[in-house]
Amino acid sequence: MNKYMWLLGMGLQKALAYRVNYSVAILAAVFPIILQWVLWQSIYQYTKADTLYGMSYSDMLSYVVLAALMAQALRTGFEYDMAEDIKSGGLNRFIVQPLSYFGYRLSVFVGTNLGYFVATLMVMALVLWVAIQYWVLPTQIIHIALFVVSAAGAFLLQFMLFYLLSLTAFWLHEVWALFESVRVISLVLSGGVVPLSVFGESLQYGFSLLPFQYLIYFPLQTLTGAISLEQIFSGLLVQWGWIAAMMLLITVIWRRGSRSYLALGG
Amino acid sequence: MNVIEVEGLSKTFKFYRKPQGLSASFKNLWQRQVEYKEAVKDVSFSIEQGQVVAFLGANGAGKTTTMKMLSGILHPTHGKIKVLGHTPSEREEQFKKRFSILMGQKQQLWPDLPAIDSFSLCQRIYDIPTPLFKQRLARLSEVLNVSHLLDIQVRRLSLGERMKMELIAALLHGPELLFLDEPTIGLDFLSQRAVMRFLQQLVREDNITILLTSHNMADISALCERVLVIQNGQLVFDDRITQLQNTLGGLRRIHIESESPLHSEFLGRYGKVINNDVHCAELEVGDDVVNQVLQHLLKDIAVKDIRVSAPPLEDSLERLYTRRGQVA
Repeated sequence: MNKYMWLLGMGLQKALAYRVNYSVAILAAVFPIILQWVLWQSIYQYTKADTLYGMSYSDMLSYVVLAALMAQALRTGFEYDMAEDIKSGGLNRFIVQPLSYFGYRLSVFVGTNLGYFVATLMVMALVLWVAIQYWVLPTQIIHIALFVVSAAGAFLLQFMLFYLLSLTAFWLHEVWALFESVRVISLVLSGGVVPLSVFGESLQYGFSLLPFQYLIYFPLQTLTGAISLEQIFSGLLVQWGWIAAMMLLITVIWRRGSRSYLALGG
Repeated sequence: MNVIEVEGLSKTFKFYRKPQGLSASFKNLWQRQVEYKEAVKDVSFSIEQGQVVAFLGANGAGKTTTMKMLSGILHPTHGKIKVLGHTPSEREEQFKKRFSILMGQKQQLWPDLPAIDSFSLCQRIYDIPTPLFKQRLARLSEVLNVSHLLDIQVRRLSLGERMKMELIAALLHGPELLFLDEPTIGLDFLSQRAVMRFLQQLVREDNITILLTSHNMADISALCERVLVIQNGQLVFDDRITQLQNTLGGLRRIHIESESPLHSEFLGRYGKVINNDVHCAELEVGDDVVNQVLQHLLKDIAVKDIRVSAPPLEDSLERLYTRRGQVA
């Protein structure tokens, strides 16, 4: 077995060693969902509108529930380990062993999140089924298939985004505030809280130039069939384009960073 | 055959200084005082295959920096390095598979998984054929007496057990050269000896070359035949370990036990009094006058026991460190 596949398995094992932590996180995702449910219910009742921002009550509800789950599935945590590796010389190991740091981080990330991702997708499938049955959500098999592709892209894009962010530790000594701000901003800009259509046309155009909406908003639009197949394919192209661009940026910054990297200690 | 060849090696670090206070912090935002520190200056040495060499020096003397250059972690500013025929800073895969470096606090085992999982990862990283992997693992874990601990989460192991596991992880791919940075730091006496005995065996049986830094003199005298001492980035001593005690002024310690009380003033006439507990004292004298002093002492004191020995290694080193410190 390839070393990176093995690492993926180890990541999964590590995650399984913390299965209680796992279940708690899934349970924790329920609270924001309930909050949103209550909020949107009262908004629709109060305004007596059939559609808000082009979405019916059932559309909106399916969206926020699915978005909250998606945001949970995309959780990261490796950025702190990475910052620590960079600051305290943990990278040394990867210089003296035939193992790439990027490959290591990616495999472990995929491994640790895989179980979580699959579990969340199953919950999402359940929600989707409810949505289709009771809220009459028009979804076809082709949309579900394309959603899986875009969700995989979102997973990779999220990894790239936080990997890139972690590289700032080469120059910054305190990264906590930066990580948390980006996490919150990314959650909002990706459509993890409310659909991006809420922000209005001009802002939405601005968001479309950023990579964030390809994390949650775009995959969910694909899933719910809110956009045409043509839009889905061009969206996928842009999403994977962003992944390629991030990869390139990571390579350049990594090269600069590792040059200035002084193995500390001793 | 020389495993390590180093010629005129230097490393200069750039760093910034920030004077005390808030105003200095603001000033530092746009104008920083750049300073340079020569961590390693013009160091040359070579190490033959199968040698065990201790690399000594005070904190910040340049030991770790040199080791990092030898393993390819740092680029040298000047000088030439050949390790196992490779230039370390080129970081070739072939080179990486032939050596191992173990740095005291920096661990490669996954704390949340049993050690055996991390070992299997090593097998993949270094492409070790399964039969060879199994054979090496069985041998290493048996010699280090940890066979029964392989399937326990690493963070549940004691420090000594963990260190042994780290050693196994570093040796599974059969490195020809081993860099050890403080391998016994934080270990209790028994674990220290177990690790040292194991390293001795490894050198005997596999003809492995070891370069080790340690502040534990017992480790060094047990294991190493040769000592390199680095002080302020310069190599100040490179010879056999016994030579270290002799070069430094050739001093001897005389331990005296006596029936009658000993007076420091009296003893002080013959040499430097290291300590004096009334009935038991230690005296340091030059080796050229040992005989003379012994005769006097035996004549003047009711001696119960008397012994002559070389001063402890730590003392020789202390003298070496401070002597060069004054020159530099």
